[in-house]
Amino acid sequence: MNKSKTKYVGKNVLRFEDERLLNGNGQYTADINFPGMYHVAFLRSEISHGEIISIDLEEAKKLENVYDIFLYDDLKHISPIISKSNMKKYLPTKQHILCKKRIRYLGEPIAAVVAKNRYIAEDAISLINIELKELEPIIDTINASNETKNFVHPSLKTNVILERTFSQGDIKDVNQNELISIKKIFKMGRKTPLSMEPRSYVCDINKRTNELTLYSSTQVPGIIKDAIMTYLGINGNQITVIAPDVGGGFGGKASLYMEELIVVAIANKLQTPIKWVSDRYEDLLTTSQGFEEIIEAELLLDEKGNFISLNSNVYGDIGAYSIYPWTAALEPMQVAGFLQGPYKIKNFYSNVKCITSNKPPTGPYRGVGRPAAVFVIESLVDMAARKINMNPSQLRLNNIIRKNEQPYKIGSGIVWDKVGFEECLRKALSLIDYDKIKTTKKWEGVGIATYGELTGIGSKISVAPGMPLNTGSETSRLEIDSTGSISATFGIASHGQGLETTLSQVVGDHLGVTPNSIKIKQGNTSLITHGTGTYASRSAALAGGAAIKVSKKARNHILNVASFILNVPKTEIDIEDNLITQKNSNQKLSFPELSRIVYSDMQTLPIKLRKPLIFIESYDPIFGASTTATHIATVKINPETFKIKIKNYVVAEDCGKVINPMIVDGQVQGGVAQGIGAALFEEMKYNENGQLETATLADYLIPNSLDVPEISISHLEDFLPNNIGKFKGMGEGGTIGATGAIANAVSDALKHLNIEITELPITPNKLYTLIKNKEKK
Amino acid sequence: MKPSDFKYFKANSLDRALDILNSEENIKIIAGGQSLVPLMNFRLGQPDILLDINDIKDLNFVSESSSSLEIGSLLTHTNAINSNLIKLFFPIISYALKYVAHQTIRNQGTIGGSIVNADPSSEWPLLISLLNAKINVRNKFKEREILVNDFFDSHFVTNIEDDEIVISVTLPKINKYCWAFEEHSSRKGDFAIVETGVILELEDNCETIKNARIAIGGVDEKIIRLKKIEKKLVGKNIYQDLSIYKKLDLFEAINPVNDNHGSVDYKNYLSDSLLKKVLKKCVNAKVISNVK
Repeated sequence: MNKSKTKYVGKNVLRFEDERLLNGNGQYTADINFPGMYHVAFLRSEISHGEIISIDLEEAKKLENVYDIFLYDDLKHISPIISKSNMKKYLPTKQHILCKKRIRYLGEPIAAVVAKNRYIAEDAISLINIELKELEPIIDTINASNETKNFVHPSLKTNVILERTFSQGDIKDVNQNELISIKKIFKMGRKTPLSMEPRSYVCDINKRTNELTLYSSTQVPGIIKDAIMTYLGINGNQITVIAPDVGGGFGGKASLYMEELIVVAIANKLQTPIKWVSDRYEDLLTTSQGFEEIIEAELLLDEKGNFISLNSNVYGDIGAYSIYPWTAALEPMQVAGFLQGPYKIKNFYSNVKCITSNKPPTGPYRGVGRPAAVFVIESLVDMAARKINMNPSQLRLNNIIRKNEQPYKIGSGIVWDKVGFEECLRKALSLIDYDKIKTTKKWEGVGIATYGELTGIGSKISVAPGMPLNTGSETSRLEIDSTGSISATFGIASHGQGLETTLSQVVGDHLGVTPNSIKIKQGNTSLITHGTGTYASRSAALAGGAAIKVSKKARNHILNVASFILNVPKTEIDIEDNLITQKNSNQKLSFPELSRIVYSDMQTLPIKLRKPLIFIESYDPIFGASTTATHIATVKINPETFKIKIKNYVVAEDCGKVINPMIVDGQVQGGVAQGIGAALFEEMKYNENGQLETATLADYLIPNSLDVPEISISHLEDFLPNNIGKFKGMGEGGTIGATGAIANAVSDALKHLNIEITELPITPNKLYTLIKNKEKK
Repeated sequence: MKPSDFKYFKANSLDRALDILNSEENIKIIAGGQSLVPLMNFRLGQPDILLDINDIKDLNFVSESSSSLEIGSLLTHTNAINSNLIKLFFPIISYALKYVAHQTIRNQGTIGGSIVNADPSSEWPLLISLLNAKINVRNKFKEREILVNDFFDSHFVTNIEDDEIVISVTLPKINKYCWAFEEHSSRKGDFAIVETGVILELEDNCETIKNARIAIGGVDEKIIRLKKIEKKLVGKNIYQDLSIYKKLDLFEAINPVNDNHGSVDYKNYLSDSLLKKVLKKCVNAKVISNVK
């Protein structure tokens, strides 16, 4: 056992998923077809704010092979989607399945056309005559929050649908005259997750059993199944939600979408399979977006460089609706929640407003709130370092929460425990040889970002505050069938993380079998009674924990059975490499032999040992695993073009026990690439007329391979959390650290001009404007 | 994002293609399809007929005469980059075409498609402007030659007729010259925000500028030749610093627009930066002398 315990965990086991995915044998939702299947296309709003005056379907309906067209009235039995929360001062929004009268964002679905194929459906859309009344679009976040007449949801009589204040200490006790103030307004651009596979849904119907199966490119099949029951009134045993191979999610596939419900509702109504595959344009327009915030922040410190107080106002632009199930609280509250980062600051104040606008709803996006929070606090720290002329690494070390000071509760209420903030920071500094690489050269800079993160959270902590949903537990069922083959089933939904591989490694170690002999089943609601899915850096910690518990239970039972068969005490038996062996002897039992004896041989075992080899365990870590990473980037700016080139990039990160170093490194690199996008490239730009200026990938720029540098990654495994597997989440960290590190590096590269970056993404064009404006002054 | 209904013809000879062009309405020629297909998917282009000319072998060639190089309209960017004749006489083409999008797009896209698409930030339109090309076009009844100056009309508009096909592009050889090309885009492979190319034709002493050509793209509705600056360079010694031109002469000649990739000011700045860079590079470049 001791020997086998780390046989697979910690090793670079090649991903089992890759063989099918790289050979073109993967099956994504768009690959799934059924006989007699109809296709849906949506007529979408071409304006951001308005009212429908009339819709004329006559011409469209006449088109050959158009089977039906659905408007709100045809689906009005579906009650509006309301994302509930127990938070005080929260005003939930009502989202109709199709626009009823009011249009609240560009691309909002108005009509669903059902036709023989997508081409014909789109032909029909071009024949629909729609008359609209345009209303003044609510685009600017601050204006929206102050608005007294023009509301996204007139019945709410405000655009601020949630407000909350976090406060610790009393700033009035601090004599501010003796302190140094760093006060800035930061802006984080709106992003879209942009997974390689756009959202897609296919709903099949079995007329014999009257069962529906929704194939969905989702991260959260369990949540979708629950929503279908709630909103369409279909019993849980009549609907299965399957997430087949899913090509990335990044949070964009972690919410409920109207198209998802409509596809099921229409399949049920027309009693025929229905398919909708989002195209890239629809994906850009309508997949939940992320990150749009304005943050007024002030850091007060004394002249020795001790942080005294951090005050902020967070204005979060949540778009047109409070997204289901996460609510509008998710992104902006996390900004405030993590703003203090890993620092000792006695006095903390943050007011957060969640503001509706005529833009698509924001939802979870890799990092949730923290990329903006880290950008703000880490920029403030560097600005403070410049002001008091102190080395930025030293200023961080002066204020960082040390090992012996934990558990430490920060101003927002989050508790840091067992986190190597200082150790990660020092590791990153030595990895890049910080003091050597620090430069006084013009146009060259180095930037640090260090942060705290809460991952793998249990039932005591909500993913989004006040949300009535259990995201804190995971169940695993391990089965050994009559042939002796092993499968383990989970409620997670892997969409690129390689969880089939990593969970096999965990089960393999704890059961004593090779990872490739285990079938991991996931992403299918019919296989498990409850499970939500994969999001919030939870799957390795929670499903990994459940895997350990269930494997131990199975192992123990197998030892009991084997003990009877081999007629030796349990302690004399070992399970390794799929063989059940008696120590110091030749006696061996394979899994097929064991299964034969359990299931088919009616003589060897007493009845109580002949029960099926099915084991179920749930795991709830109750709290979360706090973790950290430090990112350090160096950049060089070309003064001829203002192009920003990232030269070096290091990450020292702490994900607890590393299950598969290659997968962890891949996650970190991918996360950093998305962080580079947030820092240098990506922004969904809605102009004052509510039109999207970045509606294609020629305008919405993401970093390509040449924009992402080699990243040196170092893992810290000295601060293991209290959860069962000692795993911490790490899927989002790459994105969280990159914004701050790059912003600081760019500011450092502009030190000769005294320009500090307060808005991301920072593009060559914006840089040019900043520099020209500075020269004019 | 699906195209509207269209008919598809594949012509295996030029005569057949010209017949179809002559007899049908609302027809679009497809070669590489790298710009046309996205437009059709957005339904911004809705041709009734798509005429595929990829099988017309007569349009896929590079040939040399004593005074010029002729490039068939179906030559792909990749094949142009790899053509030894092009490398020998106009290495600027091999160099600049590497800036066209990405490898898979360069494998499909053709010179004919690129110039009739007339995107003012594309590389081929800039190259043919710089190289004083003649564009040979033909309809069912006659062939005509269009000087590059008369070829581009504005953004995505050329002066060829609906029933005409671009057959080839003729590039007059240049005796003794040096060249340079520079481009800036948001990312490698993106459309150029600004692109600029220079050719300095030299006297026999290989030092005095006999004739200067400077083209700039991405900053107006078509490729611009900077005539004023060109004229001032004539007679200058290439070992002088040529980048001391009047900024005004540049800014007056171009007319960039505000868009997602840059403001007017930024594009002016970028044009100035790139022009200085390209002139400096050109002066330091090897002199080419291929014409016997």
